[in-house]
Amino acid sequence: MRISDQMRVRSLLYQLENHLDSVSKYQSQLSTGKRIEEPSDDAFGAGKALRYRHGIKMNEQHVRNAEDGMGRMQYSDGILQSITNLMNQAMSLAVAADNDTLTAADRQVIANEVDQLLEDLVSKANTQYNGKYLFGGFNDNAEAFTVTRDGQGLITAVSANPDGIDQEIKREIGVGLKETVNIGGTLLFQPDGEGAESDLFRKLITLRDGCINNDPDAIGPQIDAIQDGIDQISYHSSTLGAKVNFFQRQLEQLGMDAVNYTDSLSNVEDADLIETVMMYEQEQAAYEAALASGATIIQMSLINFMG
Amino acid sequence: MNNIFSLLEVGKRAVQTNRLQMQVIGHNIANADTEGYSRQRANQKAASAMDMPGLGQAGTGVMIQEITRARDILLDRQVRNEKSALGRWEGQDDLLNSIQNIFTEPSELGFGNVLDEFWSAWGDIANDPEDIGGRSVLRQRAVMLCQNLNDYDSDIKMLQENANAEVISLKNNLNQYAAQIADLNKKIQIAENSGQNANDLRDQRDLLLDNLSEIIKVKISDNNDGTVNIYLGGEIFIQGGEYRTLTTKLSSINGVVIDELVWDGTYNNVVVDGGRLKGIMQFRDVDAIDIRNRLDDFADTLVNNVNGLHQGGYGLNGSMGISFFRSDTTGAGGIEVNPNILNDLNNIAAGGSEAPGDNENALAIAALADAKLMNGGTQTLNEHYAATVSEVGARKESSGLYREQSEAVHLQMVNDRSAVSGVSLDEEMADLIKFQQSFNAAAILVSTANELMTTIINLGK
Repeated sequence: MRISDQMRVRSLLYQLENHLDSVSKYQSQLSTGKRIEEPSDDAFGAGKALRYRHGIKMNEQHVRNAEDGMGRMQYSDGILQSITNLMNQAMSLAVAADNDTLTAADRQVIANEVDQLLEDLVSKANTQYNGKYLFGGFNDNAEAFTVTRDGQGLITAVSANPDGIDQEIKREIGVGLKETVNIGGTLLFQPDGEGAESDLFRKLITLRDGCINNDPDAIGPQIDAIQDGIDQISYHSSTLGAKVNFFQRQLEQLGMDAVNYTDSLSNVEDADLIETVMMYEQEQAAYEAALASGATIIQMSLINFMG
Repeated sequence: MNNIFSLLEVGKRAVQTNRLQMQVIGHNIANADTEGYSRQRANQKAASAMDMPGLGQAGTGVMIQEITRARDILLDRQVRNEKSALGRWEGQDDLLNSIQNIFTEPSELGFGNVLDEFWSAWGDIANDPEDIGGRSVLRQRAVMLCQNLNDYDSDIKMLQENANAEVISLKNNLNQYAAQIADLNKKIQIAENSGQNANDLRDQRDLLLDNLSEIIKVKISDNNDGTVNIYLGGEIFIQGGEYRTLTTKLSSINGVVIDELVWDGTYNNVVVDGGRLKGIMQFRDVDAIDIRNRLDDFADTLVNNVNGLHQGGYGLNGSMGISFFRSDTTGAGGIEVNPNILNDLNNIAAGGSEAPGDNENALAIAALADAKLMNGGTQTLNEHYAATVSEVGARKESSGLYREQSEAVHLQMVNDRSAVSGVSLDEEMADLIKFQQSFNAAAILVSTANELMTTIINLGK
C-alpha cells in the first residue's frame, strides 16, 4: 500500500489522541476514586448510584427520627418511674391512715403529706420535654391538666385540656413504618374520664379528704384503689419498655442497612484502585511507546539521505 | 527528416518532457499538505514514429500525453458517507455531553441530594413541628430545589437555542457551498470542453463536496460534461451551474420555537438524514425535548402531591388551604415556592389539625419521598429522577460510541483515499532523481548532436 505523508501524520495523531484520552481517563479515576464520573461512564450504574444515595439519605433521616422518638420515650419512662414511686408512697400513707388507733390530728398530718403527693402528681402530669408538655398530645404548648382549688388552696379537681391530649405522636422509623412515641395524658391519668374510679388524681383527693375528715371508711377502699393505679401505670410502663426495645432493634437494623447501602454504592461507583492503577500504567506505557516510535518514523524521509 | 537535426529534435523533446515531469513533481511537493489536493501525474509516451522505407519505423522521442490526478470515485463516496455519519454523531454527542454536564451526577452536589434534603427537612419538622428553625431550613431547601429545576430547564433550553442558531448558520454554509460548487461546475465544464483535465478545479470541488457531506447527507451524480448534480433526499439541490437556495421557516415543538430547514420558494421541508445538521436537529427536536418533558413531569407531580397534602393541613397560625408551591405555574421552569410560605413560616402546614404539636401532615409529606407517584404508580420521584439521569447518560453513551466508531472508520477511509491520492515525498524524491537523470542524459544527447554538427561543418574546411 502506498503511504502518503498526510496518512503518516494523521494516523500518528489519531493513535496519540486515543492513548492520551485513555491515560487521562484513568488518571482522573485515580484522583477522584470514582469509576462513574459522569452518567455516560455507566448509565445504568449512575441510576443505581442515585438510588443508593437516596437510600442512605432516607436511612439517616429514619435514624434521626428513631433517636428523637427514643429520647422522648426514655424520658417518659423516667417520669412513669417517678409516678410509680409517688403512688407507692401514697400506698404506704393509705395503709398508715387505715390504722384505727390514729387520732384526727395524726390523720391531718398524713393528709398534708398526701396533698403534697397530689401536687407532685399534677406537676408530673404537666412535665415538659424540650419546652413542650409531655402528656399534652398535639396540644403540647398548653398545660395538659389544670386544677381547681377550694378556698384553702386545696386541689378539688384536675381536668384534662379540653382540646384533647391523647393524639398519637408518630415518628417514621423506616419506609412506611410509623410508630407512636407518646402516651396520651388521659389514657395514663384518667382512662375512664375525670372523677371516675380510675382517675389517679381522684384517688389521692379521696384519700386526702378521708384523712382530713378523719373518716376511716373512706380511707380503707383507697388502698386497693391506689394499687389499681400502680398497675395502670405499670401497664403503660411495660408497653413503653417494649416500644423502646423495638426502636433499639430498628436502629440496629437501620445501621446494618446503612452499611449495605454504602457498600452497594461503593461497588457501583468506586474505582477498583489496583485494576485502575494497572490499566493506567499500561496505557501510559502504550502512549510513551507511540510517542517514541512516532517521533522516529515521522522524521524519516528520503530527503535526509540525499546529498 | 532523417538527419542530425532529428537527433537534436529528439534531444530537445526529451529535455522538455523531463523538465515538465519535474514541474509536475514540484507541484506535488508544493501541495503535499494542501487539503483536498490529489497528486498529479504527467503521462508520457513515445512520440509518433517515422517511416523508414525498407527499415521499418524510427522513433522520434518522447512526449507528454496528459496530466491526470490520482483519484478513486468509489473511495470518495465512502469517505463522504462516513463524513455524514461522523458529522451527525459529533454534533449530537457534543450537545448531549453539555446536557450531561448540567446534571452534576452522580455526586454529593447533584439534584438528587437537593431532593433528599427537601424530604429530610419535612422529616425534621415532623420531629418538632413547632420549631421555627426547622421550618426555616425547609424554606431554604425548597427554594434551592426550585432554583435547581428552573436552572436545569433554562440551561437545556439554552442548549436548544444554541442548536437552533447553529442550524441557521449551517444553512448559510450550505448555500455558500452550493454557490461555489455551481460556479466550479461551470468552470470545469468550460475547461474540459477544450479537452483539458481541470485537475485543480476538480480538487477544489471535491473538497467542497466533502465539506458539504459533513453538514448534510447528499447524493452526488456525475454528468458527462464534468459537472455534478447534488440531491438532498431526492430533490435536486445543485444542477450544473444552477442551485436552489435553502432557507428556514419558524415552527414550534412542544412550545419551543425552532427554525425548520426548508426550500426557498416552496417552503417544503428539506429531508435531513445525515450530517452535522441531522445530529443537531436530533438533539434540538428529540433529546432536549424528551429530557425537558421528563423534568416537567417530575416538577408537576412533585407540586401536585405536595400541594395536595399541604392544602389539607394546618399551619402553626391555624391557616388552611395554602399551597406550598405556587399553583399557577407549571413545569420545571415554573416551579416556585408560594410567596405566602416564603413570607410567613407559620403557614407551613405540618399539622392535620389546628393543634400546634400535630405533625401528621409533615409525616405525610415526608413519606412522599418513597411513594410511587410517577410513571403510572411504579416509580418514586427519586427513582424517576435517577431514571432521567440514566436516560441522559445512556444517550450520551451511545452517541459517544457511534462517534468513536465513525472516527475510526472515517480515518480508515480517509487513509485509503490518501493512499491513492496523497503525496508521498519519498516517491516524489525518487521520481525527481529519475527525471533529473533523464534530463541530464537528454542534455548530453543535445550536446552530442551539437558536436556531430560541428564535426560535419569542420569537414568542409
